[in-house]
Amino acid sequence: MAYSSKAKDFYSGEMGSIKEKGLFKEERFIESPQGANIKVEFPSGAPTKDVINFCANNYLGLSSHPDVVKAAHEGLDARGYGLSSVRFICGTQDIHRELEKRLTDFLGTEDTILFPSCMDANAGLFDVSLDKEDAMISDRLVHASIVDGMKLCKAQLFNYKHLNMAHLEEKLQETQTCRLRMIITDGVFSMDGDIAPLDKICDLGEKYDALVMIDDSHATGFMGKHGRGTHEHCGVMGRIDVITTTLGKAMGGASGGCISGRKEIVELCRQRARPYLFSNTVAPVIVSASIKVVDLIAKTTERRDKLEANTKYFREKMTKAGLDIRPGEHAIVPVMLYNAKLAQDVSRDLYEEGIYVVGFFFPVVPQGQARIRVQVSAAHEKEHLDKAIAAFTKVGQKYNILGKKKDEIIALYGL
Amino acid sequence: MKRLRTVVAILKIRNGKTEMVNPGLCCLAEIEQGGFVADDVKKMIIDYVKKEYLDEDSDQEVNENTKLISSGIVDSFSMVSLKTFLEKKFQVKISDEKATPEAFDSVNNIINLLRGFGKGA
Repeated sequence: MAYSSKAKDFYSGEMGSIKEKGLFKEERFIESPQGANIKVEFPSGAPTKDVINFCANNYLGLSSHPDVVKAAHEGLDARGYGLSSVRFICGTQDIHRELEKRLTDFLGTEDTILFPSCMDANAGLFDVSLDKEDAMISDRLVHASIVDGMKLCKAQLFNYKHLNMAHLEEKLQETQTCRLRMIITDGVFSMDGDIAPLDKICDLGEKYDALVMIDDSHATGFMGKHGRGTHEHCGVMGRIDVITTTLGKAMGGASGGCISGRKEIVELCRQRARPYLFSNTVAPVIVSASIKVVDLIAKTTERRDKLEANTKYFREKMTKAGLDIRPGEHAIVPVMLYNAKLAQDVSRDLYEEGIYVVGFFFPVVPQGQARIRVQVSAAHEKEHLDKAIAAFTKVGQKYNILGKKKDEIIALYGL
Repeated sequence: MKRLRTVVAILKIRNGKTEMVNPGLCCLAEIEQGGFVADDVKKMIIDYVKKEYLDEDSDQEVNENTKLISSGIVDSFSMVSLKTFLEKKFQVKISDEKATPEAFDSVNNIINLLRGFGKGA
């Protein structure tokens, strides 16, 4: 035991600095299952408040779906709680194999390997598939887990301006002498709801002989006509070499992730990906429930269709109400406020109105682009959406931002 | 013209003959004595920052004192491009210890960083 005052002071100092910079993240305690209506204790110790949740990744509303919960119970009864093993020792059950096969079919790929999370999938992928003679060419706004995964890989790192195909092409030209190259992007970007132009990216990949990898965590289950993901949405099924994605968002929302794609890459990951080799197998209860999720979304597109309709309705009404919405078609709807304090104030007032949303500001998003990220769900009914639109309108009036564009909001509140 | 000016920064006159040298600060130290060439080096870096990090339609002003990292023009992830550019242009290897956000936070800071290489640091 050598937890000296030096160590204690150091950690306290770090915490103090986080708070001083306004970066302290406070957790809110939810006293109900995940869903459109939740009960929240916030701040800690306050009486529970009923609010409508607009900040979950519960895109398809499956997090507490009765069939999914039932399948989880059945999995628990039939295959137990835990396996106390990594996959390759004694942690692979028949249901792991079944889920991998089901995901391969659903995503339209060649093979799939499960990971404890998509963060782990991204941590393992690059180090396995690329080496120092190779190049990783990434969009600048990719998810933090990809950035961390790339740091673990010896390949040279290049990045291109967000969604900028001309800049991507420049980087492809710059790296012609590398052995292998991989273009790396999110399918859908989590802070903006931007959709990567995968048709153009695949064209460039083919022109310059580069692999294409996407993280489709904010798309699997609902983007594209059958909900297969951004590759279906962009019409490039079969042209993406590697997809990483999560079971922790639209696909039931518990945890777990995967790498799905070319079979040689997946096979190599099974042999060498460190987060796969050295962390526990995905728990049977999650595997069983995930198989049910794939069943549900493969059987009918009802839920993704409802999400699409909800998103369209919400975006239209919010724009009509005069909020500055970043244009797009994804269920991530960024309400732009530009100023960090304004984003915090507006989200606090919305919470008072019973709408649970969160403000995002630098360094989570670029400086001067503070926003509230609204996430629409198939769990929302029209009444939920209307309540949120009414609350945004009321709070927007209070802050005099309705009908105002970027320059006018900045003129009022600064950056 | 821009290209020609850049080339000036990596040439020096030795015994009346023009020859290529390591354009790191072993060169920049000498360059500074001439004054005008250091401005070219600054301009080269500023031009790169604008081209690499700003959108085509951006009216953002970038000069030698502009904060690059702390202002968010260059995020910490994208800093790698700038590091690679400097290493290639000046034929130096910038270690991770030296490639800090502070060291890259303005063109002047970058020049100071490169100056260290000129002193054999």
